[in-house]
Amino acid sequence: MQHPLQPEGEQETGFDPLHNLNRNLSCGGSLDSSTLSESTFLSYRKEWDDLFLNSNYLTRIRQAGINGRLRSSRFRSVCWKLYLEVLPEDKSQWINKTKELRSQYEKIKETHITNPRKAAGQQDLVVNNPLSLDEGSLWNKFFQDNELRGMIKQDVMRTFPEMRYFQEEDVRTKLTDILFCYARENEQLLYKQGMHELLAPIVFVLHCDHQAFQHASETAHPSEEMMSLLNPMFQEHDAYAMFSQLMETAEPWFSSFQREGKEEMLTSMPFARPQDLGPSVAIVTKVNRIQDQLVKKHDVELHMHVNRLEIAPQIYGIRWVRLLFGREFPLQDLLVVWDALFADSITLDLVDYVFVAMLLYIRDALIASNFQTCLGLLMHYPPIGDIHTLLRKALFLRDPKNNPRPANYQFQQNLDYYKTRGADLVNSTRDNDRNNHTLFAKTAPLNINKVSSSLLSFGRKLITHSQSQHQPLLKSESMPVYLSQGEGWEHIHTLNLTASGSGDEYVARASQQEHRGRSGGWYKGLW
Amino acid sequence: MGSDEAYNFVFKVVLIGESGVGKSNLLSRFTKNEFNHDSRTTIGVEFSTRTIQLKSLIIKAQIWDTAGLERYRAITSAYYRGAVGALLVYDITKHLTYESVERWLKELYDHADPHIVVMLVGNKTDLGSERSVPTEDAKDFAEKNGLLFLETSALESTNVETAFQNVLGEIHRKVSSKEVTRGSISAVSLSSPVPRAAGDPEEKKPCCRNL
Repeated sequence: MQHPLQPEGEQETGFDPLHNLNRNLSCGGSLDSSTLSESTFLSYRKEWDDLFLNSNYLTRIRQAGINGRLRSSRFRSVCWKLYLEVLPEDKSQWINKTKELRSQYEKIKETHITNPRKAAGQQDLVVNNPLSLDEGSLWNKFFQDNELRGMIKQDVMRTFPEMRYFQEEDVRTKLTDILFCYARENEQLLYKQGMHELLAPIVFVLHCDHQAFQHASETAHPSEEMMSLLNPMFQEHDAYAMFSQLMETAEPWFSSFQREGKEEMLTSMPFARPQDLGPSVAIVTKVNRIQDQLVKKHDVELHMHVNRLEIAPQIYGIRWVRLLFGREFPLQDLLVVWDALFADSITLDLVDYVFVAMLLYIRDALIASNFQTCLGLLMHYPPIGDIHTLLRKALFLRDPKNNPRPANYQFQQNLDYYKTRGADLVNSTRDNDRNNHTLFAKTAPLNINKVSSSLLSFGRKLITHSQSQHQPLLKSESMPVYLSQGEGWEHIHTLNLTASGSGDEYVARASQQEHRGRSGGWYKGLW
Repeated sequence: MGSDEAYNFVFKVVLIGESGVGKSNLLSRFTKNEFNHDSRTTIGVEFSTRTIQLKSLIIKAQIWDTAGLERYRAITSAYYRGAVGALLVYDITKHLTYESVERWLKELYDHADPHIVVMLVGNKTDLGSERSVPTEDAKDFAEKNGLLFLETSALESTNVETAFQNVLGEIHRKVSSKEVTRGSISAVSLSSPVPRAAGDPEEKKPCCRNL
């Protein structure tokens, strides 16, 4: 019998949903029930008890989530419900709360997914006919609904296309209905692209737990709580509740509401670039704060480098944050990342630090790369050796006193590999990533280094070199040509020729120069 | 397709248009000669490059692809900044995606360089039987607005190469005519062989020393 909270590696629990995923990209495949039979249920029961039958259970399952110990849990969805406060801490309330939320969704769905034809008899035909322009016309609502549904459906059809589960028509309908209801319940936000990929893993995790539950309950009677919480009939209801809770935190990252005031920006960005001026959007403010404060704090050289290349964090960071890194890791790892994010806090504070840890993980490659290769690395994040190390790194960055520094601090091995492969990374897509995965798998994974001394000096050498040679090295190689040359170009060269000194001074002067150059030059579109 | 070849110009080209018209597949068709039947929704921005030869010049096309529904100023400005070409894509089977072309054009001119080379692209000609946007309509619109125009199929690989080639050629024509009038060729060309990565001092060439 295995303890479900055993450290990674010793874990051999009977049912690993993602183990099957690897084989046939669908969970709950066939397990040989005769050999597992009763012991399956016993281990199932024991896993439940170990997770939830403890006076201090919530703290413990939070730790389990943060430390990546839910990877093969058959109750991940229950843990997520607790993290996301869909379930209260008090276990005696679980069944009632679950019922309550489910009937809420039932009502919501009834309200929003109606067919105007059905209700047509109740409305005046002058108002209610297909050609009516009346706002209150049910037909009008019907057409609006169709447009919204079409928009959602278009994305749902493109959700995890490599997984068979998401190709099933009833799964797609569930996803669409949930997103539709959410949009109708949140008219300010409606549906925004990307929400579908926050919902999909939730639906999938519920599905896996339901499969495990059904399998285990073939041989014995599960508890009342299990039967209620893991009832597959209510997958859609439960997913809606979890998704809504998640969106409570994630909503501003999808909102295009523009805040007029720029006070915060001004304090955080002394040398505001032209694109930073004007109204701000929460997600843009967030990723800029991460890059300009956190990255700068933890790796000044990297910060300097991305600034010099003018890589705005919104170019890559919006997707990272909005999908909670959903496109950057394979699903197995992604769920582990979400375990940690949710377990840590419903406010998802850890997102910022995972973001930074990801940048630091590839920092050597970034620093050694030009604009194009950097963008390639950031937009097609390379396969990571061990997701747990990344999470530990994130925790360490946030709170170094209470979290151990990840052990691997050696100089990374495959920088050369990056330098030669970096170019191809630019051209890779998700499809090609698979090939790259195999390529990467053969080399040692990168270690998370903050600053390795040899590289630091290497970077310095680069800067000194470019200064002494008076070459606009990084700039001229990386920046595309501008239609509006003239003044703008002179400024670029001025910038590089005058850049001297090192460290922050260099950045500061560069920023000032750039700012002036831009406002007087190509940014205004002078020909 | 690597980035370690030498090139004379880097041209940044952006793909715009409504969600689902096939922007990402035009990108992958052109840069990798691939088509993905179930490509995922673009979130934020995508990016890919391809180096092509245009007469005697090597041009690196840096192509940016954005989510059709993305509407933030702070993103769009970063997205359009430095763009010298744009493919404004609609779906010939979905009239609504054509109707919004004007709005896209406005956004483009609001944020991008006024001299940007724009091509109107009617994609999905492989679905000819479902066509709802007549070629002539789009052609007229393009002419009136001074846009290049082509119909493409990323799926069947029809006209994709030509579309990008034409845009890049036109950009080059604009840039080089300016060069001649200004006599400042060296200021524009980002020539010199490019090292694999900027982190290799030995490989650097003093590309702009003559300035």
